[in-house]
Amino acid sequence: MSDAHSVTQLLEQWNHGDREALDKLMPLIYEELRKMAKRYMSGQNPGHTLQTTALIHEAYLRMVKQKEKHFENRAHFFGVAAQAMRHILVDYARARQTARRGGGARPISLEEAALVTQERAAELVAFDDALKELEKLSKRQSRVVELRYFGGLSVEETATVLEVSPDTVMRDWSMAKTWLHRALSPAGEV
Amino acid sequence: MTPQQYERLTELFHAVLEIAPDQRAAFLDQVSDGDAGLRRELESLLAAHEQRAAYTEKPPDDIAAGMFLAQHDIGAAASLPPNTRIDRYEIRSLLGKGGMGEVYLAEDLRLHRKVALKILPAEVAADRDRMRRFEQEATAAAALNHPHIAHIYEIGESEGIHFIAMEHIDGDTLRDKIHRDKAPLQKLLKYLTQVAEGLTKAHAAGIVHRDLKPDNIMITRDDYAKILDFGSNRRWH
Repeated sequence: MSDAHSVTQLLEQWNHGDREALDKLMPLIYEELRKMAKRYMSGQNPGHTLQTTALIHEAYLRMVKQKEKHFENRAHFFGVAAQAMRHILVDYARARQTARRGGGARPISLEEAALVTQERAAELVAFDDALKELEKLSKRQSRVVELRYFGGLSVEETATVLEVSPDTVMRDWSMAKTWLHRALSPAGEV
Repeated sequence: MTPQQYERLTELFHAVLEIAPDQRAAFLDQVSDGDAGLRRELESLLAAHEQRAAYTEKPPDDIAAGMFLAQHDIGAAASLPPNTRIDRYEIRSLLGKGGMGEVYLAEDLRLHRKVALKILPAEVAADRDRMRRFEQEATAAAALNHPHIAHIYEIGESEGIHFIAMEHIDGDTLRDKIHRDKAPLQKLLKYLTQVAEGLTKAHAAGIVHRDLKPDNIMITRDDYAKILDFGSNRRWH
């Protein structure tokens, strides 16, 4: 079974309420994003024009059969990819954050250091931690942030993935952003 | 806070936002109904809402770009240390690296001469089609015998590592001659004439270089130009 075929089928199964299909989709998409990241790197001008949203979109084009591209499948694919992207980026940020000069850690290129400072990495890690806290209070709100922030999903796509109305997504997004902003602001500044 | 309390907080938060700013205090009094904790929560959320939630406006693209660079670095860090033995060659030092793989100065232990050993990236070696095309081209290029073309000695494989052994040229690149040494025009023209001769021979044999540039032209200590990297410049994409 080709990858594109199995991914399409798993999306269908998930659409029809098969939650296990999601567990099988995740590693497939995760791997594809990693592979694509490697390919980007062998290009002439790595990184600079990269967008996480574009990356996920390309993964979708590669992994899902052309004629099966229903709106629902697309939204669900992006839903899983957003989660995979969050894991990949936060893992990286954690490693980057703890990288110490001369401490036996892998060397960091000037270019990489300029793009992702330790402060910026720490910022993303803190954001992820705050998002986990939010998840304890409202799983749906944290999913909205994950989909919109890490996956670049539109309000409509987010609504399709979560099976709620676009209005609910907008309210969740607004509250979650406010809550996260407060959680990430140094005490006394809000 | 429990999820239920948070849900209530979310509802109240949206409700407060609907109220005109000058009437919010009265509304907060009413809904919090003496619950000072709830009132503080709502007030601090309103204050946070007034500010721009800057973080969520900024997609993590820079983090992603940094990560992809890092993965590249990890690949580069997997270089072969000195004294690594590959077939009958022993690695001395890294000469350079690029999209086509890494090039090492190595010693041919049988013939006791220095060679430039190019190691193919693992992803290329793993692709049978690419390898077949690569071998065809390298074989054709190896048949070229010209004083101004660096010679390809052999292509081979050892314990999964694919390599090309090439003539090692001790000297400077044409780029260095032009920019660093500011070599006189007459000399540069002499080098280019030699390069043209080498290219003529290659083209007659049906082989094109694909990546000819001053970095790929070496000038030997005796002042001869030699074209590097024939037969190994197929783009891998």
